[in-house]
Amino acid sequence: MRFLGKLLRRGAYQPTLPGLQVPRRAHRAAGDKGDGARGGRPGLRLVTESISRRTFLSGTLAWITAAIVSAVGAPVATALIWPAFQKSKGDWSPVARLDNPGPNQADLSAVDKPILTHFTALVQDAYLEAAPQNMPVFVVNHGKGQFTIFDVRCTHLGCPVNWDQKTKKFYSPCHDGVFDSEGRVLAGPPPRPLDRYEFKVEKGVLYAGKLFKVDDSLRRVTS
Amino acid sequence: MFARSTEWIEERLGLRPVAARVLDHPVPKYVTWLHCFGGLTFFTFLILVVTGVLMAFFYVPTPDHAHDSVQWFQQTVPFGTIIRNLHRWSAYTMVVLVFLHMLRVLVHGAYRKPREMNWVVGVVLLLTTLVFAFTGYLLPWDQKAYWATNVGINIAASTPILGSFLAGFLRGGPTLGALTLLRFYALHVFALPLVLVGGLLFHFSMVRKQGIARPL
Repeated sequence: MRFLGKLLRRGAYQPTLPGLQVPRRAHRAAGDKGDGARGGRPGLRLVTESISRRTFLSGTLAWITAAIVSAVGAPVATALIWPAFQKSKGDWSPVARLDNPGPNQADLSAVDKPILTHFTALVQDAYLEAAPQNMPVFVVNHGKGQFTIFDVRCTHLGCPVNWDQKTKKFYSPCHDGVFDSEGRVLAGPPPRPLDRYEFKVEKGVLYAGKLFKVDDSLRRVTS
Repeated sequence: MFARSTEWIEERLGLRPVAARVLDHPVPKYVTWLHCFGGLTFFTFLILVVTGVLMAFFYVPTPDHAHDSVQWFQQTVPFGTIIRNLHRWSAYTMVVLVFLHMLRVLVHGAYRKPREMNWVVGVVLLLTTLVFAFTGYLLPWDQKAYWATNVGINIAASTPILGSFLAGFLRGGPTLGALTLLRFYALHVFALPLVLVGGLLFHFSMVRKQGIARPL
């Protein structure tokens, strides 16, 4: 390698960066009776910068190491960040029978009064196909089969809010967040109204669906 | 690309002479390809650490979840199959390589004075590797793992005098179950890595201090 480099190169030795140096073609200087005369295209000669055996080997070693690291690292990194991109599927879960509530179910007959209750959602928790999760909610019966199901968690940092029947407001116990009966922010740090669950009534049973966020005019903003 | 960053660090820590002293180490002429087995063993260990740490993010060491979490990791998590099999094959390869390394040292007589201590540390590392293999084998918690561990513990139980104690210690009680899985897991991912890394530090620094043995 060094021999070849010395044979073909003209000029003083220049130290090179570690790594593989690819031989390159250069124009022959005018009047240079260089190696170009030996063959190949006239006027061109092969010029290489000599690299030491040590530089060549350490460069090769660095590239092989980089290849191995990425071959092992890419799958590992992908698997590690993959869970961050998973979305919850969301399914319909029964909240309560409306006309004749079961033993552990809330009586939702009172109109326009938030009732604190909970439902059990069967969620996919990694390898657990249907892991039961307790979801505390405020259910408001608006009458004529219309309901609002509020998530109890304050939209600021997730403290469970309380309903006060006298003032007809939701109060968060943590940072003085206050919401009106429709979940709009009245005071405090919460960034958006209370989150809600989809609802449906089937055969006299109220079901809760996906959780979604609403904007300040109570329009749904997440699918 | 990182030239300025490296200069910035170099100006403050002056690590280049240290790196040169560690890396630019003359290798004697009599070193052959057979001398690579030790380094290759270490290479498989590095792959085992990387893939093992990743799998620790997904594995649940309890009897009711272990098998499901492994299956889920393989079938659902991207590259799960590749990562788990990298771990498995690196483990098999490590056991083979560590024996080849020992065989090379034996044949070259490299265990003789002044390197007896390094031979002893090497034997400790060999046994640690085997315990790694034994404890790791149970973790998938399938039929093969369960019954192989059962046999392994029965072998330990046949030890004179101490046998029943050893078996009870390995099982964590009279039955092969939750505590067995948990203590094999704790050994595999916490205790044994500490032993192995500590031993490797001794092993490597003694090689550096004493140099590579001359051929017979």
